[in-house]
Amino acid sequence: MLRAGPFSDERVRGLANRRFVTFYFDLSDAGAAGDPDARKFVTKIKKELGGGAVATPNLLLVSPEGVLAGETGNYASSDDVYAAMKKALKDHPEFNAESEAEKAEAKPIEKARIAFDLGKRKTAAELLAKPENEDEWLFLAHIQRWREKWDEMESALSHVKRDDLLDDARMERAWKAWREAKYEALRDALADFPVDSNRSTEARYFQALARYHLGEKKEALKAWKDLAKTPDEDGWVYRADWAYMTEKQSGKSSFSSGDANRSPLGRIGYMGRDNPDLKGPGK
Amino acid sequence: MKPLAALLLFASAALAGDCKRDCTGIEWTLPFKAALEKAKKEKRLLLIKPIAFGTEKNGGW
Repeated sequence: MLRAGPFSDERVRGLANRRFVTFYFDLSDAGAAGDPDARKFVTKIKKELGGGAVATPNLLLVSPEGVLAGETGNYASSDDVYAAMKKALKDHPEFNAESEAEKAEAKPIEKARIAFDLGKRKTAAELLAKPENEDEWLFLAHIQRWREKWDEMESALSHVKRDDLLDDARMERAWKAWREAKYEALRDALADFPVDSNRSTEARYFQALARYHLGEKKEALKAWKDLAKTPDEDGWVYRADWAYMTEKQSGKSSFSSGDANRSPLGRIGYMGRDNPDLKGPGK
Repeated sequence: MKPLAALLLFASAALAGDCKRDCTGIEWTLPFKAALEKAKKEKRLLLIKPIAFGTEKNGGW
């Protein structure tokens, strides 16, 4: 669920890649991701993880010296994971300094990207106060979309005319329909979206979501299943798999590796939380 | 296959760096020694996800 949820969230991903060193491992040394050095390090901090049968471990935020700076449950929402990361950095500013590369960055769009990744969206928008090209206009629109400043987003998108950016502009506009729960507009905005676009998986995910909320559940499930089978995995593919299984495993409380009803990605199920998109945009 | 050879092959497969990375865009640093070294050098916190239910070489976790 972490991979389909928080780890695929743009805010979590941006902050993780800017301010954290990310690592995962199997508590069993025999697992494919087993790492005895990590196990020794972590079980000094969380002794309860050293036993034979342990509860699903939390996500840990730890200093290199082994001091716990924060943690969240394995089934936490994207908002909760993001909040825990922000709090850990606030409580430990010594790990939140600008990197040398960030200090040296001179291009407005790159400086805006850094601010955006750090969650400083207003600053990011201000850094692009005078866009000089269409890439900058598009990124400004993206920032304003996250801020839900729809008029400002549309104003920025009005400057995006380049053929190779039109899919991006279209997808940004579709997000407004999603956030406002206008499902027919969302479905129509993404109809016949180019399959070779860099936003294709995102568009397919949201078009299926629109159909789901319009009562076309069968079609939505098929679309998510088809998307989850695409060889080009990304966060939207994982989220589609989660959406499909949220509907399919509704009411199920236990999972088994012997279960024949695996997800399109081969998972035995998703414990903890349902995909929240099936309830709406969650304002 | 001789038992010793089988054991060595298994040990190789157990390294976290061999496990298929995910495609979320999170820039994982594996194995742990490399992650710890990077965190010390860059003065960063480690974000660690321990997994308790087993991992598969195809990236399942």
